[in-house]
Amino acid sequence: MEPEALAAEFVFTGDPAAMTAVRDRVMDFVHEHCADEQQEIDIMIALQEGLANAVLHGSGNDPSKIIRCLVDVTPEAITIVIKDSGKGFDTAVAVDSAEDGTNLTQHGRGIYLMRGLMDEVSYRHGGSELRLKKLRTPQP
Amino acid sequence: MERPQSHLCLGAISQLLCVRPGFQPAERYRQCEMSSRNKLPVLDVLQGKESFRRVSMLRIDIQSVPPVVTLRCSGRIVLGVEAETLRCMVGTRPERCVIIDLQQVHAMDAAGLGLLVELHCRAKQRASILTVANPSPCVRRLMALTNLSSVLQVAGPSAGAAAHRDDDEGRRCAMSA
Repeated sequence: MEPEALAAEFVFTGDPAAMTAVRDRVMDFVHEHCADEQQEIDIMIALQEGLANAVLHGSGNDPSKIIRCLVDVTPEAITIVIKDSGKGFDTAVAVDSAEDGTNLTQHGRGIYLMRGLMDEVSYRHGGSELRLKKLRTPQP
Repeated sequence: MERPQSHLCLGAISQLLCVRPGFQPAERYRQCEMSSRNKLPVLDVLQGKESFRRVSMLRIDIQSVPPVVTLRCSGRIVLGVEAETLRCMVGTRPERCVIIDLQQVHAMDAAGLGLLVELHCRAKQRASILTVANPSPCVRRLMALTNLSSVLQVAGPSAGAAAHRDDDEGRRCAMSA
């Protein structure tokens, strides 16, 4: 029988190589709790975006900076919280530049992608904490 | 006629992590091992299920019939070594028409999508052609989410085959795919 709640914390440095490994470890943790492979892929892509933002923007690719990734699995949802030690950003200014299909730059799709793939995406502490939530039973 | 083919495969990268005291990673976290014979990571079997995440990070099979080259990608195209590899691979191809086949790509992030846009814009600047062929359901969904389907030149399953026909018609077909 599955426990009511599971939690794990992954701590790593602001280093892209460490980020890749953490992403895979987090996915190993949530793998068996996903409803299906599609849900797992959605979480992996959103997680990738969140971690990449924490490393690139929150930590400036600085290996001396610490990033924490907390994962909570309950019967209802899988929640991932990513905390970096950066100054954060103005979440209101983070516009969805990809929304109208005219974004021809390499950047500016991450937040939009996370919002499209997860059931809940929110920022706290001025943008330095990202909260991603995926319901385990997809809503109709 | 035998086609010139080559492939590039990136294996799994592992790195030591710091995990909260008390958290016990299960035994199933076996390291991906590199097969010495074919340089593909051995699939990790998780309780009888093969994890798609353990499939090679990115493998690119190259089929070149000038002026067309098809890069068949399998695995995932995400920020880091995978995206960089594809960027370098496309950048160094001498052919005028590059087809990136994404049928076997199971995951792509914003960096991967951004790379496709970058390659598309670069091809336009150089008056060459870049076509995204056979996007997998996952890639298709992400492209739709970000409204890139209308920006990129996307072709169906027949593009690759048509591109490699020997006759001029095949080449014209590829060039207009």
